Amino acid sequence: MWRKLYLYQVFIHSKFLFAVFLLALVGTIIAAYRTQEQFPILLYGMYSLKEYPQSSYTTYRIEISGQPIVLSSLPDAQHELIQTTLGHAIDLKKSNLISETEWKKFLKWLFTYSADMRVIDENVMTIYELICHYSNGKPVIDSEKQVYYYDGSGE
Amino acid sequence: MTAQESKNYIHLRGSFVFGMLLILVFYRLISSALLSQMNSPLFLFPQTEWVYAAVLKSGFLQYITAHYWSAALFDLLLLATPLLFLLTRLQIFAILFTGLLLTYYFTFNMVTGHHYHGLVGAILMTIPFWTKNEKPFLLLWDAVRYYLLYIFASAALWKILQGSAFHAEQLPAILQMQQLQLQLELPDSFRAAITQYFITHGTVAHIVLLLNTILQLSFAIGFATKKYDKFLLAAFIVFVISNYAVMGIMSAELLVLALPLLNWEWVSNKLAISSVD
Repeated sequence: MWRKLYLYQVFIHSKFLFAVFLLALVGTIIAAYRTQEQFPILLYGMYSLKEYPQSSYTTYRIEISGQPIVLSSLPDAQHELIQTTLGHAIDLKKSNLISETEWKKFLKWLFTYSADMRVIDENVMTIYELICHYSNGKPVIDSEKQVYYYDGSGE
Repeated sequence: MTAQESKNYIHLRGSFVFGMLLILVFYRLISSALLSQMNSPLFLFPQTEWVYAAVLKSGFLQYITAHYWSAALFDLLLLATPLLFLLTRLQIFAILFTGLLLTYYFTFNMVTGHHYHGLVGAILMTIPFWTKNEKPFLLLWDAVRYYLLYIFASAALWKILQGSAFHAEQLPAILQMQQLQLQLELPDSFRAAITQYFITHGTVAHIVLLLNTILQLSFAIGFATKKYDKFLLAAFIVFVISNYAVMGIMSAELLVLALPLLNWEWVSNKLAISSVD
């Protein structure tokens, strides 16, 4: 019976491959126990952490030369390159974990990447912070303020 | 199965895998997300995982992306290697493509500061093609199948063990957070309407979440038998479609992992019949 097992067949064929798979198995169990992954040991929770509705949500809107970027209509990878990177960079900025020079370089990169393939009148980018809450399944904007401005000067 | 038949099945799988991977890389190209299109991105975010930290410290990715021509050469190779594999069936192109895709994966994840798992399926699918020998190929092919089962079965177990599967507010809370941008930018879109429906219909949302957990858990049966692989394949496709409709997540890159669930004898016969017709 056990001779039919996949891992047994791997063991018979290649001790090296068996060792790799065994390490991956043990690594996965340890990573799951510690709930912390270390590449190449990956955990797939797929939104398994408990989430609760919040009283307010924060998001950002980017305008290039006065024109808003509709992030939701961009392909996933491009969307992630802009929105996720911006969100994480703002977290660093708010926690003072990024120098002013690096921040300016980041704004310059964000502008260059976002402005690429668009026809723009002037090299300006404005980032707005939107605070929202939900009412009847729809978001309502409570406040909207300009938080960052890039005028093409960047480092 | 004769040796020739077996070789044909491996050849056929190679066509499907690398054909799909070529499309995936091409989709990244038209999404302006290849290295030369990233316009010399910054590597701002600290890396806590050892491998990521080591790759970052090496400066290799920073060097490639900082120079337009090296980034463009990288992209060209990323597009060319699956094509070259399809044309020549030389293992060297499969190995090279794995390395290039892994490099791209690290770059994308470090630049965005988020360790996406989407491309892992694509990377893993290339590994069986490092060999031409039937036995190691089939063992590696099965390993990829087990990895797919692990992804889904463990996702269900995490939801059950963490209690989120039984948490009635889970799906509406995720959607409120994750789909905010969509709701603000395209409030009249079909996907925004779906999101609004699930946010306001908590019971339906919870049933959908429970069904999703059961669907994911059903992949555990695959560890014991391959008898139900066609049902798992159907479940996978249902997951990919509903994941896009409800969560707005394109799982196309994960979809390549569905190939080990296919009955290749059946595919081969079907294609042979089609070519005779």
